[in-house]
Amino acid sequence: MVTEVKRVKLTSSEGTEFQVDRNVAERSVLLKNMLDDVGESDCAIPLPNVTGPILTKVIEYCTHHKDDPPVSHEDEFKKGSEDIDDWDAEFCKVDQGTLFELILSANYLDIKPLLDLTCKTVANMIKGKSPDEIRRTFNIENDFSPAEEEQVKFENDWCEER
Amino acid sequence: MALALPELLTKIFKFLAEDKALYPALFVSRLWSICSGPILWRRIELIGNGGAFGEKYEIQLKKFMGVLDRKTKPIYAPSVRYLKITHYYELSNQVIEKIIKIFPNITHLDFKRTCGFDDTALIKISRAYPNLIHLNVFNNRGLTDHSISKLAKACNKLQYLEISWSGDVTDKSIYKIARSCYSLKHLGIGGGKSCITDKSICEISRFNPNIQSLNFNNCEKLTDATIHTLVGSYPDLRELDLSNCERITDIGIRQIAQCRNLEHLALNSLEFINDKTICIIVQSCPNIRYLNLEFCYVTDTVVEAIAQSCRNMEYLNIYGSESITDSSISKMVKKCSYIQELELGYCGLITDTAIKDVAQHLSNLKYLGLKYCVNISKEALDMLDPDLEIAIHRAISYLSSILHHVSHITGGTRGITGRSRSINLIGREFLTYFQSPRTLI
Repeated sequence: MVTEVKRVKLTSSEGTEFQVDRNVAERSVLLKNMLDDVGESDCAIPLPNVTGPILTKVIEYCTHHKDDPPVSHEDEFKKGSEDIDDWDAEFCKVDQGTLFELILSANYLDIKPLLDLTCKTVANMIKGKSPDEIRRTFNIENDFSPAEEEQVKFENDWCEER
Repeated sequence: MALALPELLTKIFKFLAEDKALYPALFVSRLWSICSGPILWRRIELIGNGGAFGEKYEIQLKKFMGVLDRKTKPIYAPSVRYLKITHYYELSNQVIEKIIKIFPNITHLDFKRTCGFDDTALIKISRAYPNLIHLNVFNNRGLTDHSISKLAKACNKLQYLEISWSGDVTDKSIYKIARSCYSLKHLGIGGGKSCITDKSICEISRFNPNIQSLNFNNCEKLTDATIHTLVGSYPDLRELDLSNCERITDIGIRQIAQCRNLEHLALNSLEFINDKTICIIVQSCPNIRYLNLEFCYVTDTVVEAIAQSCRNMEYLNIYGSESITDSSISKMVKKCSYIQELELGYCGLITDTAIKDVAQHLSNLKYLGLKYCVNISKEALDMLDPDLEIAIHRAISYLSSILHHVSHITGGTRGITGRSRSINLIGREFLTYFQSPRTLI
């Protein structure tokens, strides 16, 4: 009995074609649903929101995690930002632009573990920084007026930890 | 960019929801403020500790009251689900009204040991929060059947209701609660003034199948009949407090052994309990993590039984058990290594040997009660972790050397049923302790 490894074709936004095993592609819930609907077709699935380099990274992640057990539904508010394993940590050592693209792609393709991983990574970049440092890290403009800043401070500064 | 999308920003922030790591995000930009506020303040906790040193707490409270007084609601107000204000003695009806106005979606209210409001406020609470799941008004002392009954009817989704010592509460309220709150998992109705009888507990057992935890502390009218009812209706009971229920007998208590999944059991001041009964319970209920046997005058037999059966013990209180010796304590600490709080006050026969074993085996220990353990020397206490909270009563000449070694000394009152208050002995208070050590009994 030979089990055939089915391959699927994905096209990035620039038109580059990628061939992956079906079980790797199915780590994406979006692709899984599409493939279930389309059936045995040989057509390539277009992904206009995902560039070639990002798609390469996504496929790399899905290939490494292709045998992972299905994701269990955790209580949202019990998430912590530690416990990222070594391979995943290496995988996320990319520039900010790529990291954010990965978040957007994981969101679009509905790959929860990758989305969680990339969000956790960004969360770790925020942790422990002051507002100023955060703005510098992510190049965010401070759009508060002085009055608004006072208001936010007043409404929130009664908590214990500063 | 990903960080400009609110849903993704929210996802990222949820990973920082614990321990206020998200606080700086409030000040980064408008979008960040809007997204982080609701996550950060889903739970608002203003926890007093009942001591005289709550300056920080008072500042917090003042600021919180300031927020309530403003004309505009804070942006995160609709997201607040959980509000806890404890040990505050001036929470008036007016403040409750303000809270209701500003935070419309609360599901968990914890006002433990907070007072100042009465029936009027509770009735307003029950009207404002029909989806209330959790309510704690422990020790309020201002409430009566009138509001509790209305609360029961209006908030029928309640799962946790703690009204011990909340005021003049009688069977009447219990009947209403039984017939309304079908999802109830925890019910606490202890209290000196309570007129709770077996009949009302029977009603609870008829109508509330999901009960897992009960607090009957000081319900002096309950008899063995209640135990019989409980054991029959709630074989899966997890938590039970029967402290000071003097009409229950040793035979009645023994029935508790049938609730084999018990995790939390308090039998304070039930002097008539035999060692045999406690041993039977302990042997039948290996999952017990919290066991309060204060003034039950247990002997080594019981402690050895605990050592054999309850490896998951985290809190053990045998205050007053004067006949306990080193041998059983040593055996126990070797087997029950997860203990975090150990109360051995008045166990006068304990010596340094036991302390040595405690130091060696209880790596998770946070509190050790040793009042009136006169056979313990300075050297033994030196072996303990310097960060450990210790309760002692010692001669004046010894105190000064101890202060090098302990960071908090607890002057708890009789009847330690949980965490004792910790008082930093500095300045004036130190002298008071010196001058009249007996007042700390």
